[in-house]
Amino acid sequence: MAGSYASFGASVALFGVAVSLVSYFALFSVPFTALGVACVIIGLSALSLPEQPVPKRAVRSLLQGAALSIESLLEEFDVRERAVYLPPMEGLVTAYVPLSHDGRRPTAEEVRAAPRRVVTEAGGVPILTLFPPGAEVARAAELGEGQTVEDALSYLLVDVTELCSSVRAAEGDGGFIVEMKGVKEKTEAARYASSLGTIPTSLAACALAMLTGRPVTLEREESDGRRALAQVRLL
Amino acid sequence: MEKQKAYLLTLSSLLLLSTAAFAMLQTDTLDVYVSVFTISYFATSAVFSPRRRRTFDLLGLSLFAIFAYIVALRVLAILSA
Repeated sequence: MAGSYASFGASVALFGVAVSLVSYFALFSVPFTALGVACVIIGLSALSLPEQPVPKRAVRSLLQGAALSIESLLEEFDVRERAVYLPPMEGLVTAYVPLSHDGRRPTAEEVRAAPRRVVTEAGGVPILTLFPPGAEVARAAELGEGQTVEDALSYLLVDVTELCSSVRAAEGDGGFIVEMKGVKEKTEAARYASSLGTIPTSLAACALAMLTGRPVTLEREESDGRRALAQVRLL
Repeated sequence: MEKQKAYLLTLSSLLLLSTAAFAMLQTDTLDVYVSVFTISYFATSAVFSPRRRRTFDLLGLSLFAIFAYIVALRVLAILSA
């Protein structure tokens, strides 16, 4: 039924209309009329649900592939620092990683003022600018309108990508703590995981940058088999 | 299971089970069915809070309006009696 809520909903609703009309006017049967009304409600409910044309397994594979591409870039530049996710400027979240190992980190304004190149310099610090794999997914999911952070993360990580089975998010201590249970994908890219976080955490960070409109960075990430806990700090 | 599918399955089960139950009880007024359908719809929506298309929930509004009309008729009947 995935990807066909519209056709399923329209069929059931039309069937329901036909059943209720025939039952009410020709058969004079209240239970069958009610059955038709029930079908109309089910059909219209299905029609109101969004489509999911790309299989979730394919979305997860694409995310893994994109992470591996970024991994080679991180290896090439010997990146060791944590990435900072910037809120979208043209609809897409970007991330930067300082290339210096002295702990200096440019501000979001300095990064935005810097020339837009893969390797650039912001506030006197060389940085690597990246488009994290989750940026496009977060944009396509149209997060933000009338959603709580937990709802948005749950939609993105559970419903859209099925990277985990449940998400809980709590705000506090200058950021968010995100707990993910039933994590399905193991991030194969080690340097990617240490800099941008594992794929589910990276996606969560993209979503948080998008939802809060503030730069975020991954403070801490713990994984215990299928359960992961990430602390994301707002900058 | 995906939240949307669980929502749709639960709603379908509730509506069809309530229809079967009322049919077995030989309920012959449509307003009883519609009232229970409305409650089932809002209860399922509240429990699963499925993400919808960016359209107004016209179905919910229609069901609520019909439910309010049915309740108003019942209240008027009680008051006039």
